[in-house]
Amino acid sequence: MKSSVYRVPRRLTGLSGMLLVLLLASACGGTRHGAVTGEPTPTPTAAVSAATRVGALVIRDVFTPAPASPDTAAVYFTVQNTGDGDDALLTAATDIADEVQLHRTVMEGGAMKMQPVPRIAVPAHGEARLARGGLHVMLLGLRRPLREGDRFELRLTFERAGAVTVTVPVRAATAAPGAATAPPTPAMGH
Amino acid sequence: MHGIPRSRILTGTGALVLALVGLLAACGPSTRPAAGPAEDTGGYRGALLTTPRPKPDFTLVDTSERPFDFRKETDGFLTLLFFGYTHCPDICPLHMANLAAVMRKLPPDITERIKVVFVTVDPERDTPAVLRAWLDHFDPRFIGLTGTQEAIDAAQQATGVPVAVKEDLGNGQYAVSHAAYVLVYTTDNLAHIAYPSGIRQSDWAHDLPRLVKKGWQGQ
Repeated sequence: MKSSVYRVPRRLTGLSGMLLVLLLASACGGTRHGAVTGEPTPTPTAAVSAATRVGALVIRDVFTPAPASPDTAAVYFTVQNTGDGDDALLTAATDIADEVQLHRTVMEGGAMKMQPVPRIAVPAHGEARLARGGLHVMLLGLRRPLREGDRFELRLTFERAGAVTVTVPVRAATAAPGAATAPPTPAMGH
Repeated sequence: MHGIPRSRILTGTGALVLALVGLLAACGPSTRPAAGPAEDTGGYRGALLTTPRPKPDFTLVDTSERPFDFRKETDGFLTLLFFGYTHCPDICPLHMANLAAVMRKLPPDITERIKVVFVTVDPERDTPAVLRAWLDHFDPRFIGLTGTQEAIDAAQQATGVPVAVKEDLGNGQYAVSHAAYVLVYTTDNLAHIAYPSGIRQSDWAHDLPRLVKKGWQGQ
């Protein structure tokens, strides 16, 4: 890795050089800084949402981090497909927001960008993970404030399995349990 | 470099091409992030900037609607600079929430020497009052800056981050693409290091006291 850094010609200075280093730090999934991680959040039992099943799908780890914005929030969860057929999340809907979209956060030249996506594939015997820094359900135009400890309902419609309603707990702003693709780091001294 | 002539890469138009180079370089067989602990960053856990960047000179408006001369107001402080917007649902609030959690745990003799400055890239929606309310969710000490679109674009250029771009989401909604990392300026008024999205509380807790006490002790 180090040699890759130093192979960069000196002409690549300033922003270019900076971008390169940042990309090195963030380009690959599964590396230490590659996956977006908050803290491994201790999960009080009360906040664990039971897995919801619909058809061959199991939806778990549903949560929204308490939004600081009065207008927008993101919802994260994991969908596991136990069946033999591919499926896909097509839409999400809730009464608490004017508009709900499926989004992906992507990195482009050191900038992050939110991209609406038309569907989120849930491959046969695979899973779709909506997590920090990647896919999320985006709530736009919140109709009421969301505070840690609140709950609301979100209706998900899948291509094959059909529609199902899940309960979304509002968790701490730092919560990022679904993003644990990186190895755990030592906890802070507390 | 994976069969792509280097001269062509370097004549390309900036970020996207560089992103490709970065991805190729980073996803090679012996992948280890440059931002790993110890060897490449003098022990710091952020990402080293190949060229230290001078603290930018810009004046914007703070949340009490007074002019804020960035260089002057942050001189002598460890200064964390982040461009974002309050409607950002994913990375911005996670950066700010993680930083706030760490600032709460650090002793006052450290935190009083740190200034966290959040510059909105969405001045249309982020008025001083909106910014203040949003930042107060994290830490009332965090400084929020706004201004005209032109002034904010110029501040990003002076800082050397990609200038934010508005993205239409339909139905009157929009998002803003912007730099994903926090730049940290030590008291030499240079940024030697940046913190990409994905940085953890434990990384901030490790680096901030050292950066405050020792200044830049890198390469």
